Amino acid sequence: MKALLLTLALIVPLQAWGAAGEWAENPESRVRLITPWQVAPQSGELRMGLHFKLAPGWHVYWKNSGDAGFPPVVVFRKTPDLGDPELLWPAPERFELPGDLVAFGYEDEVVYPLRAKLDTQADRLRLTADVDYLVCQVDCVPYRYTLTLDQPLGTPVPDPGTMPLLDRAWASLPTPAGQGPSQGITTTAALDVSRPSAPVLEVRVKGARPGPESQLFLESHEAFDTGKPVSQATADGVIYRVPLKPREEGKVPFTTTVGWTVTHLARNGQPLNLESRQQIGRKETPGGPAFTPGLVAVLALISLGLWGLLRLSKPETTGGKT
Amino acid sequence: MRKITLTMLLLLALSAAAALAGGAVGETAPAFQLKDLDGKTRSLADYKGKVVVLEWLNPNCPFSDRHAREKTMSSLVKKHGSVVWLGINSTSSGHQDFLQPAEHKAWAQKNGVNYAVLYDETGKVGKAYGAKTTPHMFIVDEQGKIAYNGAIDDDPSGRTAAAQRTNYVDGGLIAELAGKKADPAATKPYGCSVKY
Repeated sequence: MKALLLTLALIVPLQAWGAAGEWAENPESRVRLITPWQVAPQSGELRMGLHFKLAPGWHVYWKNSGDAGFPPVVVFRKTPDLGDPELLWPAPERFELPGDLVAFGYEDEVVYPLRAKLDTQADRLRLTADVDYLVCQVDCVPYRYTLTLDQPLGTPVPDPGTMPLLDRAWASLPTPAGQGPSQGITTTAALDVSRPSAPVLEVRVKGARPGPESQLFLESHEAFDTGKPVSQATADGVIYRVPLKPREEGKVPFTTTVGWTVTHLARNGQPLNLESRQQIGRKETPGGPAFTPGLVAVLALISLGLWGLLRLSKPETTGGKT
Repeated sequence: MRKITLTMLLLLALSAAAALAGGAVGETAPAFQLKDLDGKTRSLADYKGKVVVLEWLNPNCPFSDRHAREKTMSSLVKKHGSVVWLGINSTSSGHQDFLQPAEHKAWAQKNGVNYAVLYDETGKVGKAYGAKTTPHMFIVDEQGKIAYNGAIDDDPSGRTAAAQRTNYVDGGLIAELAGKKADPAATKPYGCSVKY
């Protein structure tokens, strides 16, 4: 009988019911889908998570992976009555790599929160996601899995194991400046082109104190490579200055959209991470207004006028050496 | 005191910016002299007047290895016959990924790599170009200026079939050989970090 049960256990695939799917495992990492529910509600926002456990020293990536790597790509297969799930990005860490390279991501354990709208009369939901990710130490290994989770639906029953995991994951998400825990905090940014060959992005946060581990993380930008941010605490917040290298020589936009996350801030003694995405312009220089396209055109016209005047006042020459 | 703090901040920012040197589109491609797998010295100046593609690679990086197996690069070498294609391996000689010439040649032969591969084990050339990943691609135009800097294509995970991907280097070469500018001229490269 024991032998029969063992045989059955080997030939019948393990079913993943309730709050957690089966782990997909490799030497560097384990990954699975989770929800906070043994039985999830049939309508409303369904919270889910992509749960990684990583071997010591290995990491997976934030939405901007840094100088190398790439962030996880999660594609859910169409499920009736479930909207397209949205992947969210917890506040990352910075990893220094040999050769002055840097990576942004997570080590040890991370839950990437996911959310989708659900409205169904069904008593069961099958979630299937194709996941591509890269796990790196100094070396990197790409993996691809199809993860599944069969979620019972009905009168909600929370799962004591996964609900705290997802609660922590949600709490680690940066909040938009000025909203929720970041209410009363403002953040602004500008391009400092006072040294045109070495432009700098300046990000200011007002209304929150930086902790010793506070860091700025920029989202990928099509026009720039970025250097290591340098921070300076101010009376009411913190300023970050980020060296920029235009990917095309001398091409610094007059306006552009930039997204950033600032971690390990504190407001009224409460820790928080904040994020912002804004259209920014060039910083006003102390000596006068920034060089806007209009100003450049006016200066060009004045220069042309002066050049014309000089030509008119210059005496005619007849050639030859003088 | 404030002056000192601001000066220190500026100095820190300048040292952070030092890591951003090189590789921008429009800049003159840094000159180099490197040895290939047969020990023959090759320099960028040897190819003056030609379009040159530089591919940072590392056979022990899964991304370089996948593109070699999929013939991503070697099929472009065949397609654009007038273009000079050079692989550059900037893996430090002390790193576990470093391959001796015989091992490197065996990998190249197995995968049909039909172009010269150069050693840059000090990382000097890789850093001059700002090469970050394997693969990291550069197109150098006939005037010796960088015309493209970035990824080989738009599919880091390799999920889609090669024919469905946008190959930026193919597009850049088509444009360059027609006397036009690569568009996009710069993208974010993906892959393993260069093992400096």
